[in-house]
Amino acid sequence: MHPKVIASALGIVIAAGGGVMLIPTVYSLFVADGTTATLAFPALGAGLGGLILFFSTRARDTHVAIQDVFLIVVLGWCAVAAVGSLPYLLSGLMSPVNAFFEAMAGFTTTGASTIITPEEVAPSLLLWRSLCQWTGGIGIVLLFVAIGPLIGFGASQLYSAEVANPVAERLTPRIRDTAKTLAYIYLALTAAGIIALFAAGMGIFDAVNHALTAVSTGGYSTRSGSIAAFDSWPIELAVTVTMLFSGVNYALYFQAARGRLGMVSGNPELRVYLGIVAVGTTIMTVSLYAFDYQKSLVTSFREALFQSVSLLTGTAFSTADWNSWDPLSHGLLLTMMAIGGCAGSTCGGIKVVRAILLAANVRQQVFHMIHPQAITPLRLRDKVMPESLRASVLGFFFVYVATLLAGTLLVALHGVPIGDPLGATFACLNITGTFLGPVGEAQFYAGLPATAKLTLTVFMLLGRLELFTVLVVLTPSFWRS
Amino acid sequence: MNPRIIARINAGVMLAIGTSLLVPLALSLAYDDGSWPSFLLPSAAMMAVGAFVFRATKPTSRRALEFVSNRDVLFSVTLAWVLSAVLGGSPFLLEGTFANPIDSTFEAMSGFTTTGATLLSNIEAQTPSILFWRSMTQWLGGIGIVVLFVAVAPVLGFGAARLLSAEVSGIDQTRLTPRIADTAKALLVVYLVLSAAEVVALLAAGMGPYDAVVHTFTTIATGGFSDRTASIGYYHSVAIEVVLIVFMALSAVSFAIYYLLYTQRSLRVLLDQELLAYVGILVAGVLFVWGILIIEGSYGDSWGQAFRYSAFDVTSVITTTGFVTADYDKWDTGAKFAVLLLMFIGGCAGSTAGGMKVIRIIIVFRTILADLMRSIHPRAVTPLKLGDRVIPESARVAVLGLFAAWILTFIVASLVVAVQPQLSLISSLSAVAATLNVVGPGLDQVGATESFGAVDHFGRVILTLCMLLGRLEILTALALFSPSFWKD
Repeated sequence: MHPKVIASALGIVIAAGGGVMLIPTVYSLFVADGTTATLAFPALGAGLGGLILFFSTRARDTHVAIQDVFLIVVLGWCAVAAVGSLPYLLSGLMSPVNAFFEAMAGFTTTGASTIITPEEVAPSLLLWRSLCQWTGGIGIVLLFVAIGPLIGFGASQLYSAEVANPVAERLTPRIRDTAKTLAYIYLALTAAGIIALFAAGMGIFDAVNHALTAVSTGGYSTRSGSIAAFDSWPIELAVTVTMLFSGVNYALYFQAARGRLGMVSGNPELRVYLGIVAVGTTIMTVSLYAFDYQKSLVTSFREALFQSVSLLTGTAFSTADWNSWDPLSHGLLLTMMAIGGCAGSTCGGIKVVRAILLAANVRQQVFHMIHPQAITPLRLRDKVMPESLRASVLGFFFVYVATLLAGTLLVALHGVPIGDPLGATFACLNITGTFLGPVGEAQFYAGLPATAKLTLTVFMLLGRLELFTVLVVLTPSFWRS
Repeated sequence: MNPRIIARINAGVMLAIGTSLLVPLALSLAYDDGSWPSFLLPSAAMMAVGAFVFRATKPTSRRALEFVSNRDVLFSVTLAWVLSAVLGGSPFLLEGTFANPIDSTFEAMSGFTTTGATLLSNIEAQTPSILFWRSMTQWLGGIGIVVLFVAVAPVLGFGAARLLSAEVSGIDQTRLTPRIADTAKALLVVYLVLSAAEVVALLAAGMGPYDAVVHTFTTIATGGFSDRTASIGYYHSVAIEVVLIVFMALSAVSFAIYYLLYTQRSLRVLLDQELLAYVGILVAGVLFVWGILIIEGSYGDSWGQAFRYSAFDVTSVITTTGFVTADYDKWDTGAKFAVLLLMFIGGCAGSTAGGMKVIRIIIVFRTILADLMRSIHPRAVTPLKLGDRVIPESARVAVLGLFAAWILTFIVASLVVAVQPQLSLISSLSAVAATLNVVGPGLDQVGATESFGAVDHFGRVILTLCMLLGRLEILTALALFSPSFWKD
């Protein structure tokens, strides 16, 4: 481990957090909502502090060990959440624990919130809240798509194994270029989102905020009624399309930007991802129409489409009270939340590609029962995957379930009724932020005991960094050199 | 596939059940409770059909018997359990205990898979012979499981049981006895000795002879049917509870251990990794729940009372028996959830317990630890050792795969059962968990003091299927639904 390297990297992260905070600071000057000081002090403090940390720890020896990277990533998210919580705290809006919860839910793009009526909060703080998600989103894309494959990190095996995404092999020497291209793509998507929402009839402030949280699949809204508050078909459509685009692997956009469109259209994960949306929407449309006499077929379709995309991508905007939907739709939506979007996007959950491989593995195991001697390589479409990927996907799934259960147990120990701890952990681990029943509403999170809230922030981080990154740091062998 | 073999095996099963029905028949005549026709008819029919088919499918030569394919075994085993449930449930139907075959099959499947989930809400209203048969189905199912998984499976190397064979569990068939028939006989002796010991212990603890036998049947099989609606809570007796805790705990230990203990006469056998982990989980579970009950003050200031209930109910859940003394639905959320988690672990492989089995949990956890280790030291070689055996990479992946299949089955079944507006989410989840892990009672509407009556008929069919899937460790039964099973 190299403490200097870690400190200097954390310095950059903190400074970047402070830098982004300048945006709402400037905005607050502009609208004069009285939050300039609460934003300016942390922004400048974090910016300066981060830079000082960076420059004071700059070492000549730039050797970086894998342990360093793990620590930088985990501590980086915690540090930026701590910095990001300061405006909430200083403005007197929240207690320290709630502020940290809100900031962590922002930077992990979870979208769980303790703010019950966003309309009463100063606009520049709302902008900061949305920017947290947006910044967290770009962080995760750069980490998993540009840096990850280089150092064998996170789900990188899923990219490198897949020939459709030869990003890893191709870009090893020029990580900076990859990162730059990805950032441009992210910016372009955001800009397109803002324009689309504005064109659909949202005010510019709402359009910017919702585009920031849709592109990062975070789901914070400036309205307590979320997208339902606008009650507009064009707006819903614009949000749906933005979310749908944001749930796609950024490596595919990267390929598309290089003109390799064939790789994009042939990508098995993308096809299944769109397939899930199509099938889910169809079944739910029929189910809603059949169960609810008051809904027309068009309304059923409109609500089913929006909610499918919103929950599959883990954004969790809502246009309808899906809590009151029928059990079949509930089951489908919960399954979609667990699956999440594509690997290499800002979505949480297990990821579509892992779900495909899991299903393939179960099918093969059953086949093996019948033909024990058969040799069956794991395939993604017609590409044979390395055998180590099978173990990795299965291991991920086990850890996912075990983490979910452990989290539920920890939250349940606070005496919350039994459905809720499961729901809250599920919501945080899948980076969705919402669940059936009371979970998902700001009142629920606001009412949790402080230790339960802090526990949930850990599970957001676990879900965001795909479990292993965080768990590794917790093993004793990590600290032994 | 070889229909002859399949028919022969199932005819044997039918004969066995028909013969077993003579016991409640005799009891019914002795008690003069009027239920005898409900046993006589099925018994006679099964023995006649069974004997006929068994004779008709007599192997023409020794070679014909040797040609048993994997498919034959999978099909025979699954069919045997289905047949047992359908036929074994017929006395309930004839007696009028249940109005339709779905319910009687549910109850009998719950018996033969040693689950213990019941549809009866007022158990005392049934005749003694019907209740005797109900408990006896579990005892018979228990024998079937031990013989199948410890004696037959490792030799044929079938299914998920491949993992129970020599390389993993230390149950080397050569170290047991070389021949299936001998192993099976030896296991049967262990089973009978354990049963006899429990009857004696329960009598000594003050239970009546009828109750003692009925409860012994369901303890040794880790089934959990009781002839009292309040289950063991009815007796309010510490002595009875202690006896049951001991025998539940003993019944969830691999029967191969007992056999080895007897043949090798060395306590070294007890140093088995799975056994140690099992004891560890049991003790930790009891202490954990005890701690929660004390902190939450569920039993006031009485730490002893809290310990008594946590020791009994946790042992009952880990061993997947499903007896209850306290209504754990009234416990705190944390304790309830701990109970739900323990259901999935289950007892040791090679016992009558259900769940995923301790050995698999050990392998999965150590595999994950090795994976974590490897993400820091990518070139590290991390062989997984269990005792002095190295678990091959393929076995690790297979265990992880079984876990995934288990959870996916759980999710799919829960979704299907949840399509019933009258059930709470936790009721449907726990109903599936309790049947898939062959425990018995779940939480809330299907909780310890309730029956499964709240579940509608469609749900009951699904849960019956879950019991079968869980008992045969998912993949065995799932294979039958795969198109490739029916293709040549």
